[in-house]
Amino acid sequence: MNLAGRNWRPPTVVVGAGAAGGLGLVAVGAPGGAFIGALAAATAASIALKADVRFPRWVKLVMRAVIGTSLGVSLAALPQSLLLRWGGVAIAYAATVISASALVGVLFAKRYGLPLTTGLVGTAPGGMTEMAAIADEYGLDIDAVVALQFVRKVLAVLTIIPILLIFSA
Amino acid sequence: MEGAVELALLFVSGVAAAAVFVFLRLPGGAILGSLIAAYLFAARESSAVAVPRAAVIAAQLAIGIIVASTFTESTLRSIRRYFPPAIMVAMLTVAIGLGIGAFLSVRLVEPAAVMLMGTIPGGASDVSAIVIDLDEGFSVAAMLQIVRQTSVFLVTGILLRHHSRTEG
Repeated sequence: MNLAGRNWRPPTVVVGAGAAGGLGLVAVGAPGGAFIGALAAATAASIALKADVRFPRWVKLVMRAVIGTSLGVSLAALPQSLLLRWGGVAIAYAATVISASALVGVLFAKRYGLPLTTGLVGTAPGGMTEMAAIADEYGLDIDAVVALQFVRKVLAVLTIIPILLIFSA
Repeated sequence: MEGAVELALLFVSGVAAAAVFVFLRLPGGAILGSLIAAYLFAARESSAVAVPRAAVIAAQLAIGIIVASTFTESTLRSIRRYFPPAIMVAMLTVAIGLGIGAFLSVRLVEPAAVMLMGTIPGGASDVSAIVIDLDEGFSVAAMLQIVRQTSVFLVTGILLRHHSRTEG
């Protein structure tokens, strides 16, 4: 398959593998199975085929909006007093995480001789795409930032699996 | 029919708010914007709207594949270059998140699973795509993720802007 000079077979296989992996875990009733299964299978296929899969921005936006909409409906079902209480906790939590990750970033930068700003952005848990965009904007070491952000993201998702297994048992 | 119209309005308002937040370059803008719009929509007394499970599964599948697609040859090269330190930093960052989650669970007498899911430093959209499968109490975990991601992004941006100005 070759449309507009691009080989569409690898991306199609990656998307197909992701869908099959996700639906497989949904079928066995794994919590978060659609996301985790799709992520694992599509990553494996992407590495095996060295595929370059790109999605239009509107697809990403609509899919994220479906998740956000569903969460908004769930939040609306919770008592308002609970949400007010959690608002304060969330801000205190964010402040703690910012301080702790900044400390890790400073230590990393000093240990590996990188600029302090690269260490701070690489270790800040503010979203991989967002942090990579900031690194690009300010001319930081994008390789270091992407490596740190990507490994953190993968490790976090891998850690979620045992949490789900332990607490949903 | 009335239910279908309400559902369509819910999605349209969610996607529109997501587009506005993304346009404003807010971090995690698509989830944050649609979440706020859907919350306001569903919080009305007359509303009994629910998002179909098929739509949620389709979105979860898509987000899983989209995240997988960010793994490219260049990501692999970056990881190879920084492999041991990147693992150590990731382990430390995840441990900090889990530590805070465990502390909050004990201090606030809340379920450990909710707190750990809320404080684990994965992406807000990734964790949100998982907690959507769990009960309503887990919405709080998504809220913690979104607040963290937005705050970190804003603070980092402000710090760097200040730093680049002082550096000349």
